[in-house]
Amino acid sequence: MILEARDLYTAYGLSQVLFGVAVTVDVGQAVCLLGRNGVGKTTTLRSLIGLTPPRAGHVVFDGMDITGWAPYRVARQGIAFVPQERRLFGDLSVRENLEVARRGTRGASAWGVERVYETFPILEQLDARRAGYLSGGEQQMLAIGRALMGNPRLLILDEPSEGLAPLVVDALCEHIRALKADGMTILMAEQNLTLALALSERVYILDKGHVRFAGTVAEFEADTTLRDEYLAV
Amino acid sequence: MPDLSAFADPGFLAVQCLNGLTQAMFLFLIASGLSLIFGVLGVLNFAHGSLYMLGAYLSYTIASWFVGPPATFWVALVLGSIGVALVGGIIESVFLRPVYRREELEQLLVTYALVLIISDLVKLAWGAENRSGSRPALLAGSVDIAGRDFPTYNLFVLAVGPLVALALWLLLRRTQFGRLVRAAANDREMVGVVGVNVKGLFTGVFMLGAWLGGLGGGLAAPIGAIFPGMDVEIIVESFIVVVVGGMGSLGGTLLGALIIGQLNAFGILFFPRFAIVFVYVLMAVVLVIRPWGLLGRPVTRG
Ligand SMILES: Nc1ncnc2c1ncn2[C@@H]1O[C@H](COP(=O)(O)OP(=O)(O)OP(=O)(O)O)[C@@H](O)[C@H]1O
Ligand SMILES: [Mg+2]
Repeated sequence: MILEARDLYTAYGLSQVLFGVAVTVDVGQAVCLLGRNGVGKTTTLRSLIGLTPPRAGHVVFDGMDITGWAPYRVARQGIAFVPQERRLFGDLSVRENLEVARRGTRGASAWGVERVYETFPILEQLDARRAGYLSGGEQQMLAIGRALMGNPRLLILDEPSEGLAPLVVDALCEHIRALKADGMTILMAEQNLTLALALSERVYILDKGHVRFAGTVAEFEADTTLRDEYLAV
Repeated sequence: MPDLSAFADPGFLAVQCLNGLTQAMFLFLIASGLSLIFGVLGVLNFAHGSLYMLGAYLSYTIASWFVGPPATFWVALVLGSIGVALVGGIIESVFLRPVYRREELEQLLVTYALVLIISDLVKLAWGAENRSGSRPALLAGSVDIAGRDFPTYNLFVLAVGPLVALALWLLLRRTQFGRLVRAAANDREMVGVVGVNVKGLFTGVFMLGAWLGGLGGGLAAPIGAIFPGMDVEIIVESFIVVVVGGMGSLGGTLLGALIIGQLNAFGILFFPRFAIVFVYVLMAVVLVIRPWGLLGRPVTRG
């Protein structure tokens, strides 16, 4: 188990959003949080990495209790986060967005600008372009590339397919699959069920800040009532 | 009625223009720090003029410690500005860090309080009378510009301005620190998410801005009088430079400083006492036509 979060209670000011969420991720797995808009997927991810520290509960990463750590320490510990809105540094070039996230570990297997360009060849052609001028798909690739520059052991993706055209989603799916095949551990939130089920071993269903279901993809697919109750719009 | 015959004298015009440029260099040094700090930290630092004043007094005093050796001025300039940077580091971590998440008005009040505190401390330490530093022997003379004298020292200041601008540009464009600074101006939360200690970065940026202000003060010490009101005098014009040029734009700050410098230098021929009127009018016009400044960009801060 590389990540274990227990009993997360998180609030924005007076409005309580998470009520005892628990999430675990095993090394090499891909795990997906499912749920309708506003159920607390993003809040769960933000709680894990210290952007919105939980009021109660624990986050343990690789045996280390990182609850309430500042985001930069969490990042240095080995968790990378690709936010829902991508949030690239719009005034920086594609290359600069990667360089700015360069961190620590050198060596053959370490991520660097060149390796990101090999993984996402489209980015190499955009090298000097300002990130603010990229298309949605290009932005998502760059956001993932930026996250990889920190040589993470856990990659967290918040709704990576949101707002992308179907063909771009397919390409993205292949990229994530390749990262996984390369040994990356992945935790993501998704509303695109096809993408989620194609990539994940396990899924969680969130509803109004509670975990309603936790299990393997096969278990999820066996229980058809789950979709109607928690996912259908 | 202003004496327009002055305009017929090329030497006078040239010197007046150079005076405007010299003033522009000082404005640029102060305003670039002000603009950098605002762009990254989001705080409008009223106390930036106080850092400039502190730079002038510190350099003056350090220079007075060792009377004689030719390197005095340079040592004082370097040590004085570094001293101001250190003071800036303390100011940022003690007074500003707690208010980043507060309302802008609260931040303004804190920096305004700092203006009052530093002003009183300076009066306590150095008294209320004017002082003036001395120029380095190397630059003590003057040069002939079309029949008129122009201080060599001012020529030196004219060279320092562009050099600092170039160095700043290289720092922001070509180094990891510069990339981080620009990234933080876009999205400081994400800078933390990629593993950067934003607190440390903010302290570094404030120290850099303070150093620029201190350097301006140190350079001003041998020219103008050093007096307790010099903080307010410079901060007002620096704000105008930044507003005219565009907050957060280095090029805009330089352009703004050049324009204000010339307006002051030539405006004084028309209204000897009220040259600043031209500057206010310019600011008002810019605010109406391009509220984000000449080279700035319309921003929506998140
Ligand atoms: N910064 C905030 N301040 C106050 N309330 C917030 C904030 N961010 C989110 N919320 C509220 O918290 C709840 C959960 O939001 P969250 O963003 O975690 O949902 P989500 O599952 O990620 O939704 P989506 O699928 O739309 O991204 C929502 O009711 C939302 O309105
Ligand atoms: Mg979300």
